[in-house]
Amino acid sequence: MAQVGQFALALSVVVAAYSIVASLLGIRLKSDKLIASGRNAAIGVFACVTMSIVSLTYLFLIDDFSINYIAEHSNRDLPVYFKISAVWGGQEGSLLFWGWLLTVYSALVIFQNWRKHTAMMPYVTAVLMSSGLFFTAMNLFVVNPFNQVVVLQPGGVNALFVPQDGAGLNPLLQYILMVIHPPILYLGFVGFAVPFAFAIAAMASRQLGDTWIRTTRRWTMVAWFFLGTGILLGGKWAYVELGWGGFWGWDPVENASLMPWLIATAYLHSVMVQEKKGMMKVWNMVLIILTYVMCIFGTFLTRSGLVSSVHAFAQSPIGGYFLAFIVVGLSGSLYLLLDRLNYLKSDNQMESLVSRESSFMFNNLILLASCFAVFWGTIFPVISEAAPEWMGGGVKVTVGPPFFNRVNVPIAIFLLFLTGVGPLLAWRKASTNSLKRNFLWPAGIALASGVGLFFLGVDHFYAWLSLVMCIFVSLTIGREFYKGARARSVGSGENFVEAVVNLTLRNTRRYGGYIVHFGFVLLFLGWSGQAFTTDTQSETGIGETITMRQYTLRMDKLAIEEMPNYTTSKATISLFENGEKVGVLYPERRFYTSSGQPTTEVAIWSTLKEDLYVVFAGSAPDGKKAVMQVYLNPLVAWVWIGGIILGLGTLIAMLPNKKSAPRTSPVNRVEERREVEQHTT
Amino acid sequence: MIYLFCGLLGGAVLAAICVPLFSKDDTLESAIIEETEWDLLQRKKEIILGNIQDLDFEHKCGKLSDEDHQKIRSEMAEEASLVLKEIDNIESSQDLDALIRREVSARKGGVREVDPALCPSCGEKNIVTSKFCAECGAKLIGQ
Repeated sequence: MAQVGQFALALSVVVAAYSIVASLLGIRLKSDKLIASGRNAAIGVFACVTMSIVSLTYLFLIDDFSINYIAEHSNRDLPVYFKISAVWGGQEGSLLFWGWLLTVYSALVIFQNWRKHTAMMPYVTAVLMSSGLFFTAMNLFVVNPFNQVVVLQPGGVNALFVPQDGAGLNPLLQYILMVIHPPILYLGFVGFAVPFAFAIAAMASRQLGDTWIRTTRRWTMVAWFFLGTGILLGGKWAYVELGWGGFWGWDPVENASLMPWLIATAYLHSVMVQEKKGMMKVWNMVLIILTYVMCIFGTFLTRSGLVSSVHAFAQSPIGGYFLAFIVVGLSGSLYLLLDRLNYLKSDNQMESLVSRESSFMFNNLILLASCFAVFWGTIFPVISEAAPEWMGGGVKVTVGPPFFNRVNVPIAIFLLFLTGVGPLLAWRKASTNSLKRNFLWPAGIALASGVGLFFLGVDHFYAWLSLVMCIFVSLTIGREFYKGARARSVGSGENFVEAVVNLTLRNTRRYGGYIVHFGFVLLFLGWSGQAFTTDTQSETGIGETITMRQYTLRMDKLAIEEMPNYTTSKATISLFENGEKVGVLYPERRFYTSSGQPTTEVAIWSTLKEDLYVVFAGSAPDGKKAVMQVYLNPLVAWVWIGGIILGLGTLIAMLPNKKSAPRTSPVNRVEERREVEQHTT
Repeated sequence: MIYLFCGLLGGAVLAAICVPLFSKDDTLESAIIEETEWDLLQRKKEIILGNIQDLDFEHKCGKLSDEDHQKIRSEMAEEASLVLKEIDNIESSQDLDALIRREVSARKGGVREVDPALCPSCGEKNIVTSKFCAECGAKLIGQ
């Protein structure tokens, strides 16, 4: 089966290269035959890579340890679902998985758009297949998942070898969320290839209206949804599996996924300005190019081992190829952009600094500033080490969470403020009268609540400011729904709930967007709680207790258990709240047999108010006591609830509007004229 | 078995690639320009209409004062009438010929190399029926 996978992979490289050549040559020679052949080749690449990844999965399932990648990332006792997730658990497989998702997206995009956008699609195919070619070629020539295990025999001869068992999957990845976190994150990364390909196609075919944006609107949101969900799942994994008490540590690889997300968020907002007002055309091109480049850069950071990270399991010396791909892709895109600048002139000018479009512009600048700060903090250790000594270089400077928090916390709070302000401003220009009308009540109530919060003991400035902004933004969002539903129910006779539902379904993008904003409010609520985290550490024996505020933890049992894949030291702890028993916690410290690596399995008692987070940090020197690290993390549950609401809002925003305006055509222009005249008189 | 799998995959992919090359039909569908000047104007009209609807709804919600609503609405109406005028220009009989000529030449593949609406002198994109550039006055190639 390995030969089938290998053959399919090799074939995919050849066919992807053919698809690019046939598409571009077809455009040049104006031959639909060649273009159609290039399209079919792209579907063929999908078939080949699918065959390749199916072969690899099959080899994992039958424990074929003659394959090096499988011997390094699986073992006989590994549960089946982890064997499947091990397919993307290491370098070779994750790149193959990346490439496979790209071919899936490519095939879907081709089926969906071939007839609709005949002039753009050959370019789209060529761009998508260029990425496809890069990834399949990397897999074939540099990090091949089908390489066999070889050992050096006496006399310097390599011989094939089949180990009895594999080294096992990295224990940190043996967690159920880890089965879905990488695929979801990759769906996000790879998804941005679609709007990027359409943007390049629009420039190449000189069709630079908003067709490419409208066509890729849902694709962009799908990618944004998956990337955001992937980031949050990664946070959840870090929180539950890494055992350091938090969910975001500004790790370079976390940053690598955050950067394209920040730029894509800016893009999702600024495309609205282009659609509504025909402005920011060049800017949108730059943003989507940067988003995709940052997705590749993120993959590069994860894979290259350039920066030290908790994701060290995925490192190998393939960074140079990625860097070359980024440089070629970025310079090619920017050259095309410069060449087409004449086609990208704005239809309108910014009329006022106090308007919806200017708030979008601020939002974009702030998001980009945040992205730059994250980028700089992430690569600074590399630059500081690589710089010559006379410039003060040669020393690896570590940039830790304090830097990222100092820069990004105020930026994030300002963004939250804009989230509340933007939707209340009118397009074009908001007068003082309209501003008063919209802001007086929400701002007044938020400030009054701020005074209340201060007297309740919220004395951390940023946490206080964040909570005040949460209240302000919630009020503005609630007010949007309330006023919209009221205006709707007056005309239609619907009751309030019906009016809210219909209002949302008839403008899913706007009201779905407000729900997304509310999801962010809840995320900020959860983040604000981090300012008040407390922790304690103690050596605890059987019958002894740890007290933390209203909670008392009593150690009932310490046991060692043998499991098929690992040995675990497990504590049984009774939890009391204000003297009353509320639950039992089981923190563990596991040792994985095949890899010999330890992991902590955190026990969490979660309420809407706070999480009690218990880590089995190790055994005391006498062996009779356990070292327990206990954290009290306020409001963390709101981060996950906010994430769910954010996802729901995105899904709503992706729905088509309940009743869309009829498409215009020359045939019904008389009716349309009447309509325009009605509107304009 | 292995050879069978490889043969089937290779054969299917090869067939998929080759079949279009030997088909008789070469319709030049890929040369159809989707965003002609007329399409762009129609789209612009749709957007302005949508913007007016949004504005009216925001006014109905009480987010805009009467004065602001009136002012912005009349500006939008002015924009809409300009767009309608441009659509009229293109659709008037003589210019419709120009539109058809452009479509036909686009199908033959002539237009994609040199855009007749693009000023050779300053690069300004004019409407398709213009004889001279609106920006610098230079004669346009297509006319």
